[in-house]
Amino acid sequence: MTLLEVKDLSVVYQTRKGFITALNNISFELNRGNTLGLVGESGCGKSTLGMALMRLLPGNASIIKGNLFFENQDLLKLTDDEIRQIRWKKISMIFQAAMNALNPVHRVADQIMEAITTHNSSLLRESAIKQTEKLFDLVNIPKRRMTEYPHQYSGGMKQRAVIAMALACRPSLIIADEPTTALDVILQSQILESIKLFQKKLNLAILFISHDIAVVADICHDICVMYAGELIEYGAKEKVLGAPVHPYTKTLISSYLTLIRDLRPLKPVQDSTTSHISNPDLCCFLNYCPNSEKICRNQKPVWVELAPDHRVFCLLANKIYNG
Amino acid sequence: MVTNTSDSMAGALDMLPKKRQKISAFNEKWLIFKENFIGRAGLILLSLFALMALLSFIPPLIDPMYHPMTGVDPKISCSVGPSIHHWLGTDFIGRDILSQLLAGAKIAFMVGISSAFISIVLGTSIGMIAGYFGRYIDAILMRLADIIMVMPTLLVVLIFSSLFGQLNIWTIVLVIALFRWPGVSRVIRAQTLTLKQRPFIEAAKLAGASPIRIILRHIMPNVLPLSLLYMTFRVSSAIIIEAALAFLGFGDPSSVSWGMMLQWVWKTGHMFQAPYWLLPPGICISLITLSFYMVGRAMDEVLDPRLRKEDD
Amino acid sequence: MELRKYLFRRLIEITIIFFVIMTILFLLFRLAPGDPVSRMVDPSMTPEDARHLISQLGLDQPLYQQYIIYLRNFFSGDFGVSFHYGTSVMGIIWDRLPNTAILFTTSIILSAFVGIFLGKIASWHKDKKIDTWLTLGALICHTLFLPWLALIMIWFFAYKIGWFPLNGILSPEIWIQTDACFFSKLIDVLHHLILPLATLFLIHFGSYLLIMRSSMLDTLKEDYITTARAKGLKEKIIRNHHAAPNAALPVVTSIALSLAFSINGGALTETVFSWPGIGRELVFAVSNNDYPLAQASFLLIAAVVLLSNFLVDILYAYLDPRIRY
Repeated sequence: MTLLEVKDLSVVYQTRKGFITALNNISFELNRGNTLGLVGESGCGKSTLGMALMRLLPGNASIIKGNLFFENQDLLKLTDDEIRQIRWKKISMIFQAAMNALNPVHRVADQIMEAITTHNSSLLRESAIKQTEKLFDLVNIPKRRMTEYPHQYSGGMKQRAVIAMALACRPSLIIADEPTTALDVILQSQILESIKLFQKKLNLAILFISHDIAVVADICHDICVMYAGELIEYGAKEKVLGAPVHPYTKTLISSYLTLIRDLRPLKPVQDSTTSHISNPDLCCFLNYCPNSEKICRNQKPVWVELAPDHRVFCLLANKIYNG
Repeated sequence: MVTNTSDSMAGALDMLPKKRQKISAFNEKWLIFKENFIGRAGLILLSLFALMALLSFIPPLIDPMYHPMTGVDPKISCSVGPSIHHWLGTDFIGRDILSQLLAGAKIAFMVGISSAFISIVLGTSIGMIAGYFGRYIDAILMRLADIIMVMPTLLVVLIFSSLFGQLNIWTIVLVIALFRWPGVSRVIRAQTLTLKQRPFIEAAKLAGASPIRIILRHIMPNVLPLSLLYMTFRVSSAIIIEAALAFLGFGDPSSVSWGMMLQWVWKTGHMFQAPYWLLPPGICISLITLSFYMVGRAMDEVLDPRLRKEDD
Repeated sequence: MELRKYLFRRLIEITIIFFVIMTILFLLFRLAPGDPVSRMVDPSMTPEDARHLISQLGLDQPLYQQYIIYLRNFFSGDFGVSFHYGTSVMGIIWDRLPNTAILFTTSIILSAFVGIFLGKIASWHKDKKIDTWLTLGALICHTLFLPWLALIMIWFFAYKIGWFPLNGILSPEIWIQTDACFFSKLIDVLHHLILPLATLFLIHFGSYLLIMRSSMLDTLKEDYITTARAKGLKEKIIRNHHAAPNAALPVVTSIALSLAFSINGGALTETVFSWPGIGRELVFAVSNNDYPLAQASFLLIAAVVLLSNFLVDILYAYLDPRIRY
């Protein structure tokens, strides 16, 4: 059952130098209980996408077209008050930098309780405290630390508190924006394990944003690969990582594999922020693509469906796929 | 040998675009500054005051009676309102208020800029030294800054003038400067501390550069914009302190400043009868501090990219 | 526990700073060019009294002896006799202290509250009309020349409209009335207080407004504000409950740092309004070469600044849990 459907979403930023396209025609779906990984290098628009889903884009960004269907209603058509009801109760977030995601002047438990009481104003204080205690239990933080302030927590504990907060209202979707990037490897695997556990327990859908292919491979069912604000390959994990087709996906995976297997010379991935092409209709990877052919310079790229659960945004997809 | 030369060639070639980059960065900052309404208004006001200071040399040349200090209109020996001969009127012994006002602009610039310059030089060097060397040098200098910071500068100058008798304008400038550096040095110290962590300082250290060279070549260029910013604020505060001192009757009696004009208006009991005399000096002091402050704020926005409009 | 340690450390620092200032003042008064005796001994004294005082202050003894006597006198609250008034300096200062305290604390607290409140509003409406006007007004108020503003206030409100008394702290007619009740005296003092208070308020609130505004704008970019938004909180709650408490911290720091500067303004205001406080007494003492009074007033003002600094430290610790725990 489809929980979230993003259709042709485009976002631009207004800057001193004019408009910059951050997201261009992004479309994907996410089912209940599933995890969708969003991979791409820094600056490719992953975090913008996460914020757009919550309608939390900064003031100079605007959604110029597209639809966001969540539980069959278009989030973009809701009023500010209505979207506020949805935030956290239905869609919550685990932030990139847990260190800064908690307000330093309020107690951790109070911040979690605030999320609960905001969306359930009839709830008594005692039962809100009970629920918060349960959440602390769930993420393995001792109860006596509930009354402490964020600066008294260690990094891993803060991250777990942030996860507890994300789970507070039993949302159906969690957007996890690089939840483990700032942590060391051991903590990272602990956190990932617990995220997987909660997902099973609570039947959560997770949109997992990361630049780390290993993490995404570990936790996700489906994968979207993004480059320069565009979705370029989308499908089941086994397909995208096992048999990548888009030249960019291949480069991305090979540069990751060289890190663990070495030997082959490293293929550097070009910085997408400087690769804007004169004609925005053409393939965004054109300038750096090792496989590009004449057709790429003359035609718009199209979505090619190689399998029901594997789509590639490349004119040469069939050619590459077949040989 | 060959590779060496080609390396140094490459290095020299590298330098060129870098320099151009620096210039274009400066240009870009200047453009942002020019776009800034507050900064533009401040600069325009400041140039008007500079014009006043330049014009101050003219009235005494026309007629000795326009000398701001000693010139007295022989026909008038009391304060009268604006007239053809005295556009802003005269003070209690018949001196021309306009020429006093123009002379006041000169004094304000002199006091403000020289005192701010000294305190900025002091504050910047002390901040860099404290930040770079750390440990007990840092502790001593910063405790010193703490002590000076809790002393109200105006009252300190008052105490000085009671002990040393009438202070002349340069002594006042110096005392103000000596008591206004701690704020700057704290900021510069903090900046130096963050710079010290940067790799290029580490690299310079490994290359065997002496501390003085590192401070002058690598740290100073990076903190200088900040010092310049603080200088505009210090100019304001120096002008205010000098004016307040003159207002209380402890100014340099050999020169006319705006604060002194206000003191005359106040002490001779003309403040209710002579608005033409009460208003101009006060407006001038307030406006010149405002314009330096506005330039400072605009610079702040240019230097601190976080405040720029685009990342709203 | 941490808090107590922190405040204790600050208290020790403040005490040390005070002693250093005291020592500097001592050295200045003894070593400045001219005869130190003339600065300590009232020129109108009889030679016999003068000799007595010189030996009492140890002015005929080496410097360190004098310093010990100076410290001893300080701790016994003996600052000598004012040349001008002919009475004990300590008595004069105790008499003036409450007046200064009233004016200073009310002006700082009032301007801090209003500045923080308006700064919050300005930041919330960034680049809109209300923000532009508030910022501009704050800039102008902040840079007004204080004595001039005070004169204008007197000229307009006391002379032209006649709403408030010209200067002083009590009207003579009430002063003379021995049977005047406490309440009418209080009303009269408040009536006199309004103009100097308004002057100081106008000068101070602007800088607090500007700091609060920019601090609030910085805070609104913090991640925890995004968290609060994502949590579906109302904007009003985000602004007042999540952003403002953090944004106010730099304002509190700047209040502490600008206390010494505010005292300058306090002294000027007291002088123009003839408000019988310590700042005015210092200006008077300096004009009249009343050295013992000048020295003691300066020392007391330094103590007031340091003590208020300490109070601000306590307030800061109360507002910021990172210091409290």
